[in-house]
Amino acid sequence: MKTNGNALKIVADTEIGVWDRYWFSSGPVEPVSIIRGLLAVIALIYFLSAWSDASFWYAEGGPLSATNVSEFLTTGGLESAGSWIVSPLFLTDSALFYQLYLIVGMATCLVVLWGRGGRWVSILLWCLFVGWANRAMLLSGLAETLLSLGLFAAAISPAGSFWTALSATRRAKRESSSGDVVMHWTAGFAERLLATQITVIGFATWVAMLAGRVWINGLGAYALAAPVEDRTIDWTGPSSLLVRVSVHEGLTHLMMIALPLGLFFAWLPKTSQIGKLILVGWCIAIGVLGSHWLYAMTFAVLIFSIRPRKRGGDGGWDRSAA
Amino acid sequence: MDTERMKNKKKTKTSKSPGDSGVRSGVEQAVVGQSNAVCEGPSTTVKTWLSIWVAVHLMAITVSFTAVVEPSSLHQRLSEVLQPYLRPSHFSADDRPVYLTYGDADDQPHRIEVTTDRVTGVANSDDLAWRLVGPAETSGFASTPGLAVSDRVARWLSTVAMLAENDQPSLVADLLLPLVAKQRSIQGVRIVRYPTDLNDIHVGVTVPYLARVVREKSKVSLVQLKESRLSAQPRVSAFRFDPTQADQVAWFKEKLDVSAEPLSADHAVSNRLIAAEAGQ
Repeated sequence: MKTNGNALKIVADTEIGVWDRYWFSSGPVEPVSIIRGLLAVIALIYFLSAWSDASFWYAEGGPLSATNVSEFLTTGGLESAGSWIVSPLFLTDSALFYQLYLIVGMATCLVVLWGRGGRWVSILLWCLFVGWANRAMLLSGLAETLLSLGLFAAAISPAGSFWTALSATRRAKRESSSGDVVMHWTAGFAERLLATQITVIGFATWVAMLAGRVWINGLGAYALAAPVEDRTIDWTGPSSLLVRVSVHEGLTHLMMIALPLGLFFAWLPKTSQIGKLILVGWCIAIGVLGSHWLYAMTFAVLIFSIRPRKRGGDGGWDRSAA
Repeated sequence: MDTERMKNKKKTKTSKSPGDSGVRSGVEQAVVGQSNAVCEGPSTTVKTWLSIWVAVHLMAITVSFTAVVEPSSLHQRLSEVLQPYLRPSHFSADDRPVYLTYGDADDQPHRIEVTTDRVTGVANSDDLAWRLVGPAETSGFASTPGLAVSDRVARWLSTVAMLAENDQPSLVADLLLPLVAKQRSIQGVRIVRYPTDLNDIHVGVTVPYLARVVREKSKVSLVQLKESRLSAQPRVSAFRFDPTQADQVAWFKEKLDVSAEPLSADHAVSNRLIAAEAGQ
């Protein structure tokens, strides 16, 4: 009995060890700084794009002004659902206040990009972004959810300048050395959280796609491009390659294979780069065909947080996979 | 046990000391490329709480992203329980199209149009002069299709069309009224749905929502106009009973004998009536 108890304890300790090593071992700050910097750039583009929204949607008398939203929720009996959508912007209908909010948001993006003000500025950026995305309510799409998850996880790591981190990573690659690397357990935790989140979302996306006929019968790629009035590039013209059955069917099947295969390869140390390349290709297809630009950019940035360890590594970092 | 506690205490101390300021200085040192700054992991207590949070967080995301298609009642309930965590943080996928497209009506392009002519019905509404409103009416970077601004308009119009098709005129009016109330000349408003190459070639532009703007003093309201529905009228039978016809007499006698099973007899009567009518 005692032997069994000891064996169980060893197994439990090993499992806890694996969990602890995965989540709580130190990681380099630079890769997270690069990802956070890129997410800040996407958030900056998002805030810029929302400038005209302030007067059109949210100002007094606008379709989504605070008064109108409250009336809409009451008419639809959706008060309970709306009670969890929190934003300070629900308190006002002033277009000026919304524009001021956007200016603060954009300034925070730049501060985060330059790695100033510690991790609290990153948390502030996440709060500002969530405040705006929650206020947008039914106008917000998938890109906002991805950005919120990304900004939150990246804010856990210590602050670092995007440019410095980029040049340090380049230098380290050029010199093939891992010297002068700042390590912290929160950086490792943030990176692992980013990587796990995007893997979960990637697989959930794939499963949801499988439930649709168009992703099985070969029309998926064409269905993405078909609503031409809402697409930046029209791929449905008579001279377009996409109208050929072999092309759009082949592309649909490739996209369905690329997502799970890319995620699987990205987590293997030897094939990590190939996996990420496949996933970036998937994002390009989604962006170019479906005009889901912000979503595709955010997805592509988050992919780079997947950095598998070397087999038998002692908490050290596999630089070659970065 | 004591040694364990001591170790934990020691760990807690070391994890606290290189807190934010320590890390910042480490990052700053790395900026000039002078040193290697490595810090120890968190205390056992911090690890335990973080582990619990990570498990709940990942579970919540998985539930939210997989509940988009067709959740079971259990899945739906779990998703609702997690809303207080997912909604304020904007981690929730809600009903957003995680699958990117299914090529259905929601994905079709929608536009909002207004007219200054009087709208009297669905049938002649196409003859009126309609003009586009919203960001699509102005040319410029913001109106470029597929970019963030036009994406938001597309989501809004798709929601309005969906509500209109589900007979929710009050909710539609809540969303559209602010747009038409400001301009007094507007007499009518409609949502137009464009077909895509995936639709049947005979399906043209459809109008999921058409409304007349009614203004009374300071009050503005929308009256939704729908196509008049076909009503089901009972068919008047031209069947006349002829006593010279033997089979009809037999049938009539049988009809009168409804003592056993009135319901089944009635069914038989109706079936015979239809058959006889067809025969005539």
